[in-house]
Amino acid sequence: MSFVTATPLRAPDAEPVPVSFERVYADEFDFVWRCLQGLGVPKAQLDDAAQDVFVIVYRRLPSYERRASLRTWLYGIVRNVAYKEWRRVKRKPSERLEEEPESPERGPEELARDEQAARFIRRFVSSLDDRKREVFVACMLEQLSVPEVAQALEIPLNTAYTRLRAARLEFQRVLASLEEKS
Amino acid sequence: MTDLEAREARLLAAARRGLSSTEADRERVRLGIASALAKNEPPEAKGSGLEATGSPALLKAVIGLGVAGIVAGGAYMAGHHVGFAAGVRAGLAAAPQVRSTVTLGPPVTRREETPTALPAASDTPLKSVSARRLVPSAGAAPAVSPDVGELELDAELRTLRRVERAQRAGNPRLALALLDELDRERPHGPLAEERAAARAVAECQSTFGPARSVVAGRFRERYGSSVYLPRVEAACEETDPSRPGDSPAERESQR
Repeated sequence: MSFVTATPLRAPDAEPVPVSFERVYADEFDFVWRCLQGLGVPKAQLDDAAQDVFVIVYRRLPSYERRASLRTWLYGIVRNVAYKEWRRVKRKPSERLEEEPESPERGPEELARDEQAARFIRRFVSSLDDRKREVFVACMLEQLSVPEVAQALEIPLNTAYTRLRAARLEFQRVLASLEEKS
Repeated sequence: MTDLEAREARLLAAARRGLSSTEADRERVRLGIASALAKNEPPEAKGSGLEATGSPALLKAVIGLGVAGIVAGGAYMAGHHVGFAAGVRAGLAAAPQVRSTVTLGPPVTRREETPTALPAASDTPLKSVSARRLVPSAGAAPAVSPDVGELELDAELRTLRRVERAQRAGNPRLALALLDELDRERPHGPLAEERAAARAVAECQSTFGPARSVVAGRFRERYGSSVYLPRVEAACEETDPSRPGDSPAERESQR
């Protein structure tokens, strides 16, 4: 398993910046929480997955270098933890008990309600393949830049753009289709 | 920006809000982290490159935080309407913090501050029986013994966390079964008041009519000054079954 800090390259003139775990936790908990859901971690496993992410952050923070932005670095960790959780849940299907029930499709106006929108996004990203999902969540949901996402996922920039374009087309297609139904 | 793009942006913004965490989520996870670090259990399998780097002193400090968290947890509960386990855990935020201040780029240093003392009793607007029970004297440092006592506490907290999840999911039967199991396995655990409150809420979730006021009255009689009393009373108050979403289970799951 590789993390984004595998080959740190720090600019020689970069100023050391103190970062405390408490600060990272306070500022980035929401980001981690949303990304985990976007990447398909079931609600019942969210606490454990978030805990895993921050234990890793706690232990790796001393070796974090500003080769990437903090969120880019975090996203690499979140993605690895999310996939580990997915593999574990797949091995133990009984742990999916607390998954949300499917709700009937609704129109865009109703989706404007936050909960409904969140449910819609969770369902949509679960329909994407892994590669598109991780780019979509980072770029569209969390609004990281495409170069940042390419760096976090260790993929070529063009590949990131291609995946994002494909995922976004799919998203707009689903959205338009919902609108037609309503 | 086209219409479709505008709708897309609105939907994503709403989803971001809908997926956001609550204060209770943060505090629940915070205690889990403290517990995991204290037990020195890496979350990933060996070989992943994640080795424990915490010193014994740090681990003791983290365990100390867990205990200190119990004290401040009640105070947190008084001001915020959060779950039982979350309330207990919330004290971590108010407790002396272990700071892991690092410098990005060499030289990498980590300073660790061991918690020095709990807040003095007069500084803590707390009437939690369990909190007093856990702290032998006001102002004294927490008794850090990373063995039986802390592991018991950790196990009890874990179960209370599951109870809370079950309640949020509108499954009071599961919550009651978990509490029964906890009572059998750890009849003298330190969080008796939290258990009683959780049980009262679960019982009210699963019953209707006057039985609920009996449950609330029983809890009030035993823990009249409990910080959990408002939540128990809210869960046990009379509802109109004809109103959708107004059953105790539904209201609890919306918290």
